Amino acid sequence: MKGNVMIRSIRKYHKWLMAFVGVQFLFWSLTGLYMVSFDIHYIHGETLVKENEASIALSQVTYPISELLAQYPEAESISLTTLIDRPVYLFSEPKSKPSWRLVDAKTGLILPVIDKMMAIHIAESKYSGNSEIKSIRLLSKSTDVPPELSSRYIPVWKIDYDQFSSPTLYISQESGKLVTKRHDFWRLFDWMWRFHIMDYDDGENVANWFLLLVASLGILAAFAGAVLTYIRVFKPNYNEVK
Amino acid sequence: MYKLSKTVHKWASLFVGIQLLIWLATGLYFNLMDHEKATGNNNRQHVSQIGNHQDFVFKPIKSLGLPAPKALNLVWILGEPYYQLKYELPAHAEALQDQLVVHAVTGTSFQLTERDALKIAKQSFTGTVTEPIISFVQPPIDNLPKQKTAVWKVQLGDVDNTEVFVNAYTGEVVGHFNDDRRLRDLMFTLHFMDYNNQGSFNNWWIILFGAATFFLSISGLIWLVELVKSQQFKISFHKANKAVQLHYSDNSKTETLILKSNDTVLESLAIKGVFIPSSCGGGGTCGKCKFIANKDASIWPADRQQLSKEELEQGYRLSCQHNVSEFENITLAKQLNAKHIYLTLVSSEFVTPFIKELKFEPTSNAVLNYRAGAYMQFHIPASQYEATFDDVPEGYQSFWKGMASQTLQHDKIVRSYSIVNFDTETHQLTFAVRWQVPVNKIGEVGIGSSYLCSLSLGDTIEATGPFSEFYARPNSLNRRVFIGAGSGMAPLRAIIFEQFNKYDVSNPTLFIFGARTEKDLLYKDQFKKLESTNSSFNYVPVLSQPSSNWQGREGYVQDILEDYINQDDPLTDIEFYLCGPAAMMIEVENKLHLLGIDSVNIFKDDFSRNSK
Repeated sequence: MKGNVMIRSIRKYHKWLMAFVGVQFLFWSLTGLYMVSFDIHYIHGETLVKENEASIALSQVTYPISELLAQYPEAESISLTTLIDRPVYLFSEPKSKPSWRLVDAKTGLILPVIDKMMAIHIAESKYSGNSEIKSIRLLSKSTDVPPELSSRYIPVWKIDYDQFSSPTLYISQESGKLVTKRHDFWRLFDWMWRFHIMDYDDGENVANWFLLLVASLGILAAFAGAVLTYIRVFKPNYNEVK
Repeated sequence: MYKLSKTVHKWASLFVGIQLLIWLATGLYFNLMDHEKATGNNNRQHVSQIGNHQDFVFKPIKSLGLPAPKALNLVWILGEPYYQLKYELPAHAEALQDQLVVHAVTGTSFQLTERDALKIAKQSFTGTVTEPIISFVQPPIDNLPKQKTAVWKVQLGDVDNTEVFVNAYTGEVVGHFNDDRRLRDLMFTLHFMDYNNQGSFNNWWIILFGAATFFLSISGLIWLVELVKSQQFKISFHKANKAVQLHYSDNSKTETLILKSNDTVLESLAIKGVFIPSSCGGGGTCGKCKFIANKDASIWPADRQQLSKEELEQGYRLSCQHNVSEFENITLAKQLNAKHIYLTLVSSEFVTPFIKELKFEPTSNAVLNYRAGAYMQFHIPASQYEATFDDVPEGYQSFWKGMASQTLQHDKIVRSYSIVNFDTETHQLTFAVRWQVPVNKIGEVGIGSSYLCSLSLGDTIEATGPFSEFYARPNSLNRRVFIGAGSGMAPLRAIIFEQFNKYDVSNPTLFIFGARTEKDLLYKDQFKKLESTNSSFNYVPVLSQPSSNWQGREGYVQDILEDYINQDDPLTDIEFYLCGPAAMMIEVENKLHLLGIDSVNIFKDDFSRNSK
């Protein structure tokens, strides 16, 4: 009899707890399943850009790094890279504005910030798809920045492609670098994440009290369920009053 | 769909089981952990290694004489400038394998020495370093599954067991790992089911378990919908009470109970001490808690799954699925006057080679009223003892040859045994317990039967009951056929003697009893005597292995059954009562169905509960 009372209350706990937190189990499984089923590299848009970048034409680097340093003594994080077939120095000057600068590695001339045409040019050289650009817009104020982009990247060119997953490339106006990219699979992933950790605004706070509450009740409910399954599967005549 | 969802729920939960609990527990850990500490960077600091570029004469990149890279960075290591030439630009820095680092002044290729690695590691750490241990590690690296190039591993010997990893080709600090970080990484491994340590959550195991969890959740929600539909989620803030008439189907008594309206019938009766059998505890999955409502009571999906159409039409419903508020009258299919009592053994004797007749006296003055055919549940305590077989009478000893005594150990168990007598026959409770002995005398004896058969006179045991669910149909004038074998005798004997000796019935009654040998014919004399004094009763023993002197029927009960059912009789007027081994019960029942006997006239007692 005792066992019978126990299993009846366990059944009741499981029922009532799951009535409150059961839906979240569905969300956890659905969102979790989405997040693990897609290759995270695909989610991160790595297939949106071409893999092979050209090597730097070293013979054209006639402006040596020592002169660069003499001219820009505050330069930090110096790198030599390629901007549309042209070798360039890219460096930061934290104390000045704009903070990133591009200098022609052949002539030593400072390059202007990336304009619209140039941004399109860069995007086209990186984009692996063959769809058309739908829109291009310069984001320069932090109020312009969509939630998917960190405001530390502004000013930045937002280039939207006309394709099924709405890919977007973000190209820094100062450095000409592809700072990040997005497509709908990633945007959806972010929503999945928010529902998974139950932080519905920006999805940054795993330590929220709502998750704490539901996960704690969820553990109790799951333990009760485990006992019920154990009895249902392994002890079908458990302490039976036939 | 509801039934399917319950099956899915059961098996999905079994499959996902422990992993689901791991997900929840680790998820809760992520929620509660100290995020700062868990990064392992509690004692990490950034130290600029930039030197003064005016102190160096940079070698022009053009004249390095190296293959053209895809990108080149000017990096500073311990105040010295270097060119880092990258020949691939992977999306993740850890994956970079093809690179060269050369001194920006001399152009000589760079390699981080043990001493420099130690220096960098120490600089990056703010805690107290005792005796650092340094080693060169090639990938794969346990802590850094994605790292593709070699690193220096520096164990700092501090209280948090910090290990600093320094990239052997660039001098960059790849990471700090201390106990906090290792715990977090373990939690991630568990949460991501990354049991192959790939450093990612894209693996087939988690997809498989995730899908199973999806089915578990969706089937659970369907179940919830079913419960809501059957009004099992009514919340009432004032606990409304309600007077309900409780009847018993054998008309034994009627009582008025004040029950909680919004509880299930099962639940609210249990509070009042009326226990309806249930093994699933109210999940609607075992179908055992039926009671008689009224014919137009609502039928919920679980009723439909567990009860037959006939039962539904007769007003049977599952008591775990219906709230008290639906009813004014509740009828229980049998008298549930079960009591919790203690029984003292007063007699223990072998009556056949393997069956012992045990007689118990209730220790309190409890008056037990029950319909013959009832059973008791024995609460056999956890025990360890030596089962010996030395009280076997001489006449039966040949059957026990080769059986060695054995040590038995078991947890608390519950075993049910039918009562051999009827209630007004004696105030004692008599049981015929078959000692479960392995056929070839090798292996374990049954733990329930051994415990009871090993009890000494005067010993006391806890029991609950009697539970009546197998009994003679009341007020019937039908012909009755009792069919039994082995210790399935018990309830049949009780009913037959109750009917003739307590109720003086004159229903034509036949008892077909199957056994192996003459010695297995339990209570033969009692039945012979009844047969001689009562013309309505016939006793037909049938033996499967009789001696040469045997004059009676030979074979199995199911083989001779047809001879006793006259095809001219209206078959609807015969009641059958069955108790015996499962195989016999099934065969007899099939035979009866073939003969055209309706299920409503076949009463069965599940013998299997007596067999362990």
